[in-house]
Amino acid sequence: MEKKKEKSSDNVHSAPAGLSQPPSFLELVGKELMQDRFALISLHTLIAILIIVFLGAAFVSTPDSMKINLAKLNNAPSAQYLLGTDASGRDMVPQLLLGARNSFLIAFGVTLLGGMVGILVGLCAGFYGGKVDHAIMRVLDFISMLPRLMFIIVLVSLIPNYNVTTFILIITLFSWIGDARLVRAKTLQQGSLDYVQASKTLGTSNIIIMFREVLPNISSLIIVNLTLNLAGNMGLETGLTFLGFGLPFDTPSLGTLIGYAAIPENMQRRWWQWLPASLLIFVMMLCINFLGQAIKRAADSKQRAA
Amino acid sequence: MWKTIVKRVLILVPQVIILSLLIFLLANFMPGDALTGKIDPGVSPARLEELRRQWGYYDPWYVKYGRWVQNALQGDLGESTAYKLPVLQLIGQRAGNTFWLALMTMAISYGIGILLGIIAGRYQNKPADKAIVFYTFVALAMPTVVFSLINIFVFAFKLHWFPMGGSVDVVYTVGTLPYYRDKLYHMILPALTGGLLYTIGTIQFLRNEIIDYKNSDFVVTARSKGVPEKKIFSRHIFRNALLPVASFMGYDIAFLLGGSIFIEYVFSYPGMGRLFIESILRRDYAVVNALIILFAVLTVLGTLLSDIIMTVVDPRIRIK
Repeated sequence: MEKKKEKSSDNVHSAPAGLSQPPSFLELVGKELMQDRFALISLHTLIAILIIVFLGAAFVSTPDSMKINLAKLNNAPSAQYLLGTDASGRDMVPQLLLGARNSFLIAFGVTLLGGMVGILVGLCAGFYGGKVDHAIMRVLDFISMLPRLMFIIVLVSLIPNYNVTTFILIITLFSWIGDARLVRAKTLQQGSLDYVQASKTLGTSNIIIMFREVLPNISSLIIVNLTLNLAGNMGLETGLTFLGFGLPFDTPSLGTLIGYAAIPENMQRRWWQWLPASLLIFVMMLCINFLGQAIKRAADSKQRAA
Repeated sequence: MWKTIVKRVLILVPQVIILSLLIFLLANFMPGDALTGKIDPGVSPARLEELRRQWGYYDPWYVKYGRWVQNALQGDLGESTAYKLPVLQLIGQRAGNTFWLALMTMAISYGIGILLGIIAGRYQNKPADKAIVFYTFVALAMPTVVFSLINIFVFAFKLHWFPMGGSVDVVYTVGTLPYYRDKLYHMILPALTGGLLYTIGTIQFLRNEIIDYKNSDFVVTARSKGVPEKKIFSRHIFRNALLPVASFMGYDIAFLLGGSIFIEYVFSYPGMGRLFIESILRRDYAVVNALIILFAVLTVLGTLLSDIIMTVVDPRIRIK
């Protein structure tokens, strides 16, 4: 039994010497990036934004930047306050840095957590099929039927000890569905292929087939999906916080800053309070989407640019 | 096909039962109760206690759920504590607004989407196509809230082309022609905001379809027979590519009726999405429950409608 397993993994993982290796996924992505100007610019812009935001946010403390200063209410941008102050006299720059960092981290957390759950559930449904698949699909169908935004809002207003962690968990409750569907469909496809059948015959355990053999084969598609999800989740977090059902009020988020525009006075006369945050979230989502499209082309041989 | 439709509708029944139970239990955990806003502050705590007992506040949840279902089946979804109106009547007042806004958004979204999708597919990789593809990226990256705010800022504040929000000015009498004209006027900006964003799905789908069809066997045959290029597009490709677009309508109806929360909120548009947010903030749980169930049913019916349209326009597909 042990011997057989070793043999099978040898066959699967090592290419015969002398033959050229197919390019790795990372190489393909790199090649795609070099050919797509927008994607390359997006990558650089995104890295620059993230470095500025994370470094900047490391130097300001949340309680300090959220302290009310009655002498500096609604100041216009000046040399001292590059982006002015808000209605409580707080400097906008640290709020923007902290907000962007929080929004990005939350979207990242939701994407990662949802991705993990989705992969696990999708692999099980697609690989075992039959009753397991049927049961999982009923659950997926039921959750898909729920009005997602409304349910998130209800849960947010209901949880007693509401904080960032519970917020991430609540959004994840709905975000894993798409990932699970994709992974299930792809696993079903792979399951009928010869290499999986051969591995089964050789007695490889199901866990190893699922995670070591099927998963690597569908990983590029999962990465594409997760990248595009990341942008979507940033938008969702911002929107929810804007409505007042996102991050707690004392935690800055891009949504909180955009929410300043809900007061007509601010929108009309104090652009510095809401416009920078609005533009920042837009630019970040745009960059992530451009990157995602480049990765998508790299993952799909039909779309690849020569 | 009728058999499938009946089956799909029947599956809806257990789904709605589970959903209503779920929502009911959630509402049961929510802080506050219907008496909180209803009784004037002069009433003594002892009397409040008595009323709560009388109204069944301390009953176990299954008794309450049974009572709620019994009432719901008779068309009584409870009373809004904030508006002092039966829930159905309250939702009915707002449903019209949401419906018309959704209809206008859809008209704009499909108008733009079909036009741009055809241009992009027809002139693939030409400047027009590249511009359209770029537009889809920008629209995809634009959060609805941000786009709504920027539109209000530019077109309502700066240019004064459109009103800032609301659904109608108070000066007009209900039912007159100026009243409806003003309603339409208030709808244009929110509908444009939604339409310009939601159109990307149609553009991308049409573009891909047309590009796929360009190299399909029947197009190659037509071309080799000497059919002029113009006719190949209008008679062979567009007709095939456009049909499936019709089937998106079902998904879109559900999505627009339910997903308009952001737009209705930012534009202060008195529709169902805004009603939902107001009700949550005022702890008006009878309204919240009813809206969630309504939207869930709409989602399922929308999906079913899409599947039905699909089989009607494309006889190759039969629901299995």
